[in-house]
Amino acid sequence: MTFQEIIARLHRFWADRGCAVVQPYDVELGAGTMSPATFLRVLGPEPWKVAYVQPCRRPADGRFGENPNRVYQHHQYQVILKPSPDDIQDLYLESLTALGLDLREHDVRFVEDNWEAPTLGAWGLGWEVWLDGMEITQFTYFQQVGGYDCRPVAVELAYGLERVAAYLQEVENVFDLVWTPGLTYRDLFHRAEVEHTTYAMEAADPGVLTQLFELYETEASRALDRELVLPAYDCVLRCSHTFNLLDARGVMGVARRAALLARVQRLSRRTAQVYLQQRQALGYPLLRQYSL
Amino acid sequence: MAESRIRDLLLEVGTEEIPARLLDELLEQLAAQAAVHLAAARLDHGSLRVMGTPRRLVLLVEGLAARQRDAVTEVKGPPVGVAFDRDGNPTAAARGFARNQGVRIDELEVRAGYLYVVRREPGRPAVQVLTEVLPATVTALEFARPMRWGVGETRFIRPIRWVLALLDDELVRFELVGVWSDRYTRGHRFLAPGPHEVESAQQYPAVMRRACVIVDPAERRRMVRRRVEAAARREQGRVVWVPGLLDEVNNLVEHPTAVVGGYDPDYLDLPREVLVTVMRHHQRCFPVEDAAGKLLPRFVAVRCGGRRGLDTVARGNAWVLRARLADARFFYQEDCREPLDALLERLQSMSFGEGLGTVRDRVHRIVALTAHLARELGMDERERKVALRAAELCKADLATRMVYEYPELAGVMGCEYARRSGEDPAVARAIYEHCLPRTAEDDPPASRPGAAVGLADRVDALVAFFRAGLEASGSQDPFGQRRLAHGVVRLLAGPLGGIRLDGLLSRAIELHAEATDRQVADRLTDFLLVRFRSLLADEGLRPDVVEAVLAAGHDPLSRALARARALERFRSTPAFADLLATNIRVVGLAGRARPDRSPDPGSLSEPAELDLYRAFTALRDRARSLLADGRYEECWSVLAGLRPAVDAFFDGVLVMAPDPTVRDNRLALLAEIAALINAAADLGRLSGEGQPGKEPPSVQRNRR
Repeated sequence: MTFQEIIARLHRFWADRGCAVVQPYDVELGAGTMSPATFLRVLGPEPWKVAYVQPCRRPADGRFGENPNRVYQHHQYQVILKPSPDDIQDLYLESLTALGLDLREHDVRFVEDNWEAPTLGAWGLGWEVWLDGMEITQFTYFQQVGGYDCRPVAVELAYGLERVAAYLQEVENVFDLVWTPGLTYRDLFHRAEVEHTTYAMEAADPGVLTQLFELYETEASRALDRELVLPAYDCVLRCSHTFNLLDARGVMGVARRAALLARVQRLSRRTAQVYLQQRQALGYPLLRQYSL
Repeated sequence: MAESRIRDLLLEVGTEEIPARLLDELLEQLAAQAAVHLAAARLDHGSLRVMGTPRRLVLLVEGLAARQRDAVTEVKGPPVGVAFDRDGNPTAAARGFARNQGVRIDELEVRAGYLYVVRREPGRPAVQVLTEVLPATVTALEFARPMRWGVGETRFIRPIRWVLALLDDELVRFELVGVWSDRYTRGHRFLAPGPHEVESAQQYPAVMRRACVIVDPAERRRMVRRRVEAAARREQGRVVWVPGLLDEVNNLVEHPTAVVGGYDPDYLDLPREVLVTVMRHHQRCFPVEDAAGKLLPRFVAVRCGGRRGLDTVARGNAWVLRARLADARFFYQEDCREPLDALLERLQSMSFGEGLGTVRDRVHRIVALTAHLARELGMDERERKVALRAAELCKADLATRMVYEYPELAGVMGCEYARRSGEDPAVARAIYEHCLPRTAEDDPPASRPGAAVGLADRVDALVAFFRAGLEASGSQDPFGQRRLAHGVVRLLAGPLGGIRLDGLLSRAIELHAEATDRQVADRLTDFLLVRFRSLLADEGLRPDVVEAVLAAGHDPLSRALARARALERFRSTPAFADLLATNIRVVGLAGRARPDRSPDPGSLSEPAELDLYRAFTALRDRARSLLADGRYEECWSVLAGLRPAVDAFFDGVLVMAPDPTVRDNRLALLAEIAALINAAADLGRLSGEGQPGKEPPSVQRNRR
């Protein structure tokens, strides 16, 4: 099954179960969780069902396209269901069946793996899902996001698309994955891996990055002062990515690293706070549109 | 009557997957809570069992009474003489009592001369009471990190998805966290999902067999072990039973089936620990070795399910393992590019913890503290050099890729890389050893350099946490401080015996603060003594022996341990009774002695006191030197010989003489004897054998 066919099937599957299938967010993200379609929408009482692919950039994981398992940018298939349905495990397993897996032929397990993202003020409990020993999905019940308790609780399914595809295609090297007949992962992304890793690890100007971090931070703060939550959050995401670049560049000491992280955390918490106030002021519009 | 017979109770709480490491403890809690709640509900029962899998907690109670015991409460009122007048009419007292209790006078009962209100609450049927008892039992379970789900506010370890509750064949109907109990269970997720109806509690085992779920953890564990062993045998090998892995695997499956896979023999070049760790860490696989103990390129995984698709499962696991081994080999090769000491620089930018400084700072302190220990232990030049070099390199492997990926390989990789970097093999070994003991089952290190570095490392870490106010308390133990403390007391009681704790802590705190911090030292000492007490208890030493010994001082711990062992042995000798009797007679009055006085032989006049003084001085020096040599039992035997002289003294002499000089002199003599008897252990703390500070009866009689 090709990479794009996996995506198409997951889209179909989750669309049929009432999810809005939205497009990837257009700011650099380290994880699907950071998209406003997750980070903001899981806050507050409004129901939410969404599915999307999110390209995720992790500069420190870049290996110049030379490592068969690690890449600067990978793809997550992200599903958020809020409130978490009672049959969510069964739903998830059905989605694997939709990918052509006969689960009786395999060993599928839910193995404890709790999730924490201090910069998002977020944590949750759940599992990594094993398929014949391979971790293919992070399955998390969000307990807190942006420092706020999640009420109701949202469940997040984050499929590692490269892992799923490698398993289905029986491929050892991520670059050998078939995206669509005649086109491999290598054709599409290898050059990007080389360039982005080179930039992140060698070429990026730490001075400029530091300036950018501070500019985005100031701008996020300014936007929040005017309750422009989404533009502010974009700046927070850019801060976070800029931080990741500095981290990959290996130019931060321990103290500086901790200090910058704390600044991102403050901003993301404030964003969550303003977002919640705004939704409340709007009378939680989605409470009217869905029935719980 | 049908309700008078006894019945069997079954409760199954179906959940989403419970973390493997928590299941055993949860089942213990369930058993304890069930016993408590059944007793409180006056429901008598026979055997009570718990069982469970990742997806279910099961309680089975046999011989449960069909009804609660009747409750009888009695309230005592006024005496009959006050309650009725001469003519037998109730007085105001009787009327008031009845009114307050809300009963009529003629409902009062007379027992043993008093009025009573006796209320009998007839027991309700068990099936009714259980609708309250069962949910209360389950919601009483406690978790370190409970979770909420859906729209509910209830917290549990993982979401509850079904509840099965039967009393024989009768449904016990109640709501638990929004789920109504029913007579259905679910089977293995893929082999027999169900739901399956359970007709009666007695039918449950048969239903679960058909549902392909091995509910009993002990039975499942035997099955996992047998199947893994058989699989390894088929590969002409034997299983490497990695500690803790069998229990973990057991709690990850409902229906275990062993799967064998292989990997490229080229990977056998990697250190054994690396291979074992990779297999365990990611996939909970068991390594396989040959008869000579050499690893074979094989593994045994345990799949949750039957034999269908076994090849696919084996292929998948092998595929994942191959990728992990390729990673490990990459890390190993990268790490080997630089000598170990070149990595020290990188520790500069590695934080030990928020606000706790860098690992490089810590290494400097560990080296300094190791130097202190080398001096205290009187290490020779060669041993000292090994210890200091090992101290300097002991954390270098934290900067390696392998340890970054597999933190449990810290120490192991340091040793491996030190050897490859051409360090002295003794240094490499000491780096390995400084992490020992890792668990309570591990032995402490054999070499003194390894032990010294390990002690310095742990003490420094504990001081850092205590100074930062991060010390463990209750269920909170960030950074595994109890384990660190356990290591400290094991080392001080074993290979580093003789080292004084107070000097060690002062030095360790100085290295952090350039000044002593008494408060940190005291709190840390208390924390370590808690671990020391449990170490002594694990040895089978009785709590009162431990307290008696610690009351006479804990430092050095190795001496305290020796005193405790000696006292435990001495306790079963005939001389023990003599010593104790002697002690009981002297300690009470000894407490009244003036602290600045020592006995003056010139002021002794009565024969019995002169005899006691002579008897005591004749053995005093010998007892003291036995004490100094750590020959405690002999010391106590010698002191027990004082008994006749002490008895004669108390029978013949009035200690509390009217003349203060005479009195103080006698008290001073008793005080000196008491001090020596109790020097190695405060014998008054032995249970049921006299208490300190209380005058025993014989002394009081004498004073009269």
